[in-house]
Formats: sequence, C-alpha cells, structure tokens
Amino acid sequence: MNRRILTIDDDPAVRDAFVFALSDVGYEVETAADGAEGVELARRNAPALIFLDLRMPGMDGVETLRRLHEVCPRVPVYIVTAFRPDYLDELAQAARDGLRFGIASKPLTSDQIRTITHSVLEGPKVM
Amino acid sequence: MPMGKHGKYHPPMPSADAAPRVQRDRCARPWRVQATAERLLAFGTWMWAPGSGCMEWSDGLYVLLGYRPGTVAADYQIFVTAFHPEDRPRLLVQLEACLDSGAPVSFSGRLSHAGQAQRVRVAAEASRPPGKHLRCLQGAVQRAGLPEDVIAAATDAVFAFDGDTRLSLWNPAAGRILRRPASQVLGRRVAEVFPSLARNRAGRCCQRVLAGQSCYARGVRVVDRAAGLNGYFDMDFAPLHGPSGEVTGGIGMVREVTEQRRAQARLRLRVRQSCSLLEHGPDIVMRFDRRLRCVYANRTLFPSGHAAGENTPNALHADPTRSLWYRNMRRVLATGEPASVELFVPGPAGTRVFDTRMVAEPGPYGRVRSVLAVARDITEQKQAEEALRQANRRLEAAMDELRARQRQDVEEEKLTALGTLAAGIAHELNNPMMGVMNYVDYARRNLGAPDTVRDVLTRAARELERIRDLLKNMLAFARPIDEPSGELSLHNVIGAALDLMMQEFQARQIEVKLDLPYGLPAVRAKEGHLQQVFVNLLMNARDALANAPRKEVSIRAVQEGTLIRVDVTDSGTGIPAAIRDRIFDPFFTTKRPGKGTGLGLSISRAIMLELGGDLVYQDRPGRGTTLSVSIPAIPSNAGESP
Repeated sequence: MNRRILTIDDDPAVRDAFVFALSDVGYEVETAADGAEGVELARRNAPALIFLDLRMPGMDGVETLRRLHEVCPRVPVYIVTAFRPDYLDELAQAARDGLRFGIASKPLTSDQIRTITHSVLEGPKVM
Repeated sequence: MPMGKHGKYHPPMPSADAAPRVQRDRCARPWRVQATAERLLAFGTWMWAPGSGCMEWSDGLYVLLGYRPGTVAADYQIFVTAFHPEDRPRLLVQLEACLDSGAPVSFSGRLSHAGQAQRVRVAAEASRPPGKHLRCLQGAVQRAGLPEDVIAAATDAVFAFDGDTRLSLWNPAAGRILRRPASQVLGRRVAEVFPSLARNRAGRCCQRVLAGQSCYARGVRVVDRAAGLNGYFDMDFAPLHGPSGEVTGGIGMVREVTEQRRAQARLRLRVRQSCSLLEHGPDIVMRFDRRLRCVYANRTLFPSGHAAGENTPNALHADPTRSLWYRNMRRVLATGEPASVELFVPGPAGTRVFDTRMVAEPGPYGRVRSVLAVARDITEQKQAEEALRQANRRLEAAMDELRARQRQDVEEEKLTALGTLAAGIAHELNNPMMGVMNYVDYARRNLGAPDTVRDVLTRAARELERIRDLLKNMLAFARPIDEPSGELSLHNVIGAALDLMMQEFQARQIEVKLDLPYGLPAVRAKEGHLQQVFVNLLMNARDALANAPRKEVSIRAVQEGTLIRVDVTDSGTGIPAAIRDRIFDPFFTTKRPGKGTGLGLSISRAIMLELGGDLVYQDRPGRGTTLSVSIPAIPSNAGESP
C-alpha cells in the first residue's frame, strides 16, 4: 500500500509539522517548498495524499492544484489554509471546474493531520 | 414836543431848505423809513427844564456833542457852547425869547465838533411837560439841507423827486442798482427811469407819496436785459415837506434783494424737497402735541392726504398696542429721552410689525413741545429673520445628523481596519503556530522524561490550541475594502459560505438544510461582504449548537416584494430575552474570552444596512434562533438570476 504523503508548503515549520506528525505512525513524508517542485515530485511518483498550501511564492496553491490534477488526477488533495478571502473565489471556481479537494484549516495539530490522513487512506472515502 | 414811546424822538421829514418842523403826530410809516430818515437827516433831539437841573438829549446829539446826558453841567449853556463862538449870542437870544414867549423859534448856525464845523438848524419850543408847572425848552437839531456825503456813501439807492416826480437827487448807489447814471436821470420823471416791471409800482408809490403818504413795495421783479438787470427790489418811499408842512416832493430808497430772494427760493426748495422725502419715504412719520393729538402725519400713513388734527391714527392705535403706545409716548414727553418700541398691529392681512422710534422735539424754551414718531414696517424683515432662524435650525439638525453619521462611519472604518489587521496578523501567525504546535506535540510524544515534563508540554499544547481558536475567530473578520459591487446570485454566495463551513459542520455532525427556490433574482453587493455575512451567521449557528441535542441549521430564502429574505435558523436554545436587544452591539458576545470578538453580528448588520437591506433577529420561542437577512432584489428585467 502506498503510504507516501506529499506536503507542499513554503514554510519549513509547516513541512516539519507534517513530518513530525506522520513519520512516527508509519507514513513516508515527502516535502516540497514550492508548487513546481511539488508537481515534479508528484509526477515522478504519485503519492497517496497531498497536503497543499494556498499561498506560496511562484506558483500559487490553486494553480498547483490544477497542475496536480493533470499529473495525478486520482490522488486526493487537501488544501491546508487559513481562510483568506483572496483565494476563496478561485477555489470555488476550481471546485466548479471539477477539481476535487478537501479543505483543512490552519493551524492543524498532529492529531488532526493523522485523522485526516487515516480517514483518507484507510477509512471510508470522504471525498 | 412829543416823544416816542421809548423816549425816542421821531423827527420830521424836512425838505431841502425847510426849517425843522415840530411834528405833533407820530407817523405810522415803516420803521425802516423812519430809521433811515433819522440817520440821514437828523442829529437828535434835546430838552432842558430849568427846574430839573439837567439837560437831556438823544443819542444822535450825544454822538455829535461828545457828552453823555446827565454827566455834564445842568444847563443849556453846555448845549450852546457846542456852537461856533460867533453863533452863540444869537442862539442864546433865540432860546431865551422862546422861553419867554413860548413861541417856536428856529435858528441856523454852525456846530463845532472834533475840529469840524457843520451847518445845522435848531428848532425849539417852550412847553409844559405833563405834570410839571415849569415851562421847559425842547427842540431838535437838524442838518441844514440834505447830507450829501452820507447819501453819496449809502449802499442803498437814494433819490429825491419834486412835486412833478422829476428827480432832483440820484446817489451813486442808485446809478449802480438801477443801471442809470445820474446824468441820464436827473430832471426826468421817476416812472421813466425805472426799469420795466418796477416802473408802474414806482409811479404809483410816487403818487401816494405826493398825496402825503409813505409807501413801500417788497420783492418787486425788475427785468432790463439791455442793462443786465434781472432781479428783485425792495422800495421805500416817503414824502418831503415844505416849511409850512405842504408836501413838496418825496424821497425814495431802493435796495436790491435778488440774492436774498434767490437764497430764500433755494431754501424753500430744499424744504419742499425734504418734505417730499418725508412725505413719500418708506417710513410713517407722525407728530403729536403734548396732549398726544396727531398734528402731522405723512402720506405714507395717509396716501390720500393729510390728517393733521386727528387723534392717533388708527393704524397704530389698535387695542393690543394702545397701552404700549401711550406709555412710551408719555415717557418721551416727560423725560425728553427717545424711545424705541416694536408694535404688533393686527390687520386684515395679518399682523404687521412696526419698529417705532419716538423722539422729543423741544419748543423754543427747551420744554418738550411735541413728539415725533417714526414707524417702519418691518414685517417682511421679521418674517425673513424667522425663516432664516428656522433654516438655521434645520441646518444645525442636518449637521448633527451628518456628524453622527460621520462618527458611525469612522467607527465602521475602524472596525474594518481592525478586521483587516487582525486577519493579516492571524494569517501570518498560522504557519509558525502550526510549526510550534507540532514541535510541542512531537516532543511530548517522544519524551522519555518524567510525567511532570510531559504534563507541562501537554499544557503548552492546550494553550497553543487556545491561540489557534483565537486566530480562527480573528480571521473571520477579514473584510475586503476595495472590492467592487457586482450582480450576485444568492445561490453562489450561500453555497460558497457553506463550502467554507462544511468541514466544520461535518466535524461537529451538524446537519444543514438548504431551501433556496429556483429563480431567485440576483442582488447587487460586494461578494466578499455578503459572503462574510453568511459565514458569520453560520459560525454563530455552529457555536449555538455546541451543546444542543439536535444539531441542525436551515437556510431558507423567500422573495418578499422587492426584497429577498434569507432566514438562517439553528435548532439551538435560542437567545435569552434579556440580551436580545444587545446582540447587534459591537463587542457584545456570549462566548468565552478568546472565542469571539463580539463583532460578527454588528459588522454583518452594518453591511446589510449599507446594501439597503437589514439583518434582524426573529423571535421564535422554543424553536431556536432565526436571523433574517433581507436584501433588495435586482428587478428581473434588469438582471437575470441563474
């Protein structure tokens, strides 16, 4: 079973949070500091789940989401964000365009990260 | 010899060579003729009473002799010594003869005075003064002949004529005033030499003079364009008598009064103009005598004419003002101080307001003789003032309202700024928060240390969660400022708000019922604003359902006329009656510290009011809480709903 999780976030503290929360419980966490790198990693080897930050330098979260959908359409993506109005319209448009994603509100605790991961990978599929 | 009323002797009018004649009757002729004749023809009168011990003489003789009567030796000798030494014996003989016989005598001799000799005639008679037994001697001293030098120097025209009105004397002033030199007129008749217009008057005066009467004419118009004469004359004529009292001719005087007449005419014109100003001015002008009778009123009050003598004009005399009117009028009369009073006079066209000033007018002896009242109709002015005052009040009210609204706007701006700031800070804090939370969690899980350290880390994790919740609430107030308004579908807006909240609702097992009819009209709003309203309402519903047994949120939209109403109802316990009135107040919250700012409903309501809608609480006892959003719909022909 694929237990590889991809975290795309420009903030190392956030990347660390996912590494610390998931590596203990048997997941392999890959990290990417920007959207381009994340898309490249996903294209090379599709992960089981992607946590994606919305606000990033260079390619932003929504654009990254579209690219990820192209390279690995079946991989579930969770947008990890503090609700910011700037991106809500684009997200809503992305949803209308058929992109599927979940939203998790920053900041996430270790438990929340694990809960989301478990429910996506092992529990009944929410999305 | 008679004396005048005031002890002044009025001498006879002598002809050129007639002896002085004692005139027993006082002539009733104009004073100016008498005075001039006296000045020209006589020095004065004298009287000596042997028993009285003094001699009296008139002012003219005083000037001539240089002695004041009563200050010198009481003898007629002093009178005699005024004459030339050669003439004195004859004068003494004559005076004594008169005293003896009582018959009038006449003496001609030379007066010596100040080194000059003048030929004079002395007339004397003896008489018994009233109440006296002794005979006294009295008489007059007269110049011998006409005093040519005086006449020549006179500024008035002086001329003399004989019984045929032919001129025998014509002084230089006459030549100047009547524009005829003496050489042209002497020997001709008076009527021939006078300029036209004055000619007939002069002729008639001459005839009367020759009949023994004096006469005069005032302001006679004279025009002689050839001679450059155009003016007015005052003329005086008096007869001259011969030795036996018969009229031998006359003397006349002419004075040009053109300048005076013109000055008088100008003055009259000025007065008339002033009166005209007074008569036709805007103010009512009245004069009242001491008994408060109206003795003058101008045409402003009585356009048809004058009403002098009437009582106080009724116009200003109406009952409500009567006492005020009389009280002030009497005070002005008593004190002489001016008064000013506003009279409100009712009339057919409504009450008129008169600003009335009363001024005392003193008579010749300083006492207040009359009161001048000037009344100005200031009704329109008063009305304008009142209108201005009202406009001012309205303006001030509007200003107050504007200020209040400005304060409100400023408050709202502050809240908006606060929300933006809070959102920015919260967002920036999210990433480090997430890092710290997980670092602490990791440390707690992998710590082999004693329980106390683990416990401390657990507490730290709990406190971090509090911070996290706070940040989430702060983020709810992010409110874009510059977003433009657009036509929005409520389906989309509510759907987006639900999308954002769905995760939370699912985590809390809150059921959402959505009842949005197809074909709702579009609305005009800023999308972020409207979405924030619904997010706020959904967050409130979520919090209200925290401990509720049945967790359900229903969203229902209906169109009510031009408004669309959206009810957001939760199945919670409802809002206690005590705080219902305060839920829209800023910073009012029922949540624990850190769980809510108390701004959500306040800001939401402000947003809805700004959109022309409203946000109200609907009381549904026992059926949870319903907050109703109403918003104007865009008319269906103006915009289409999806």
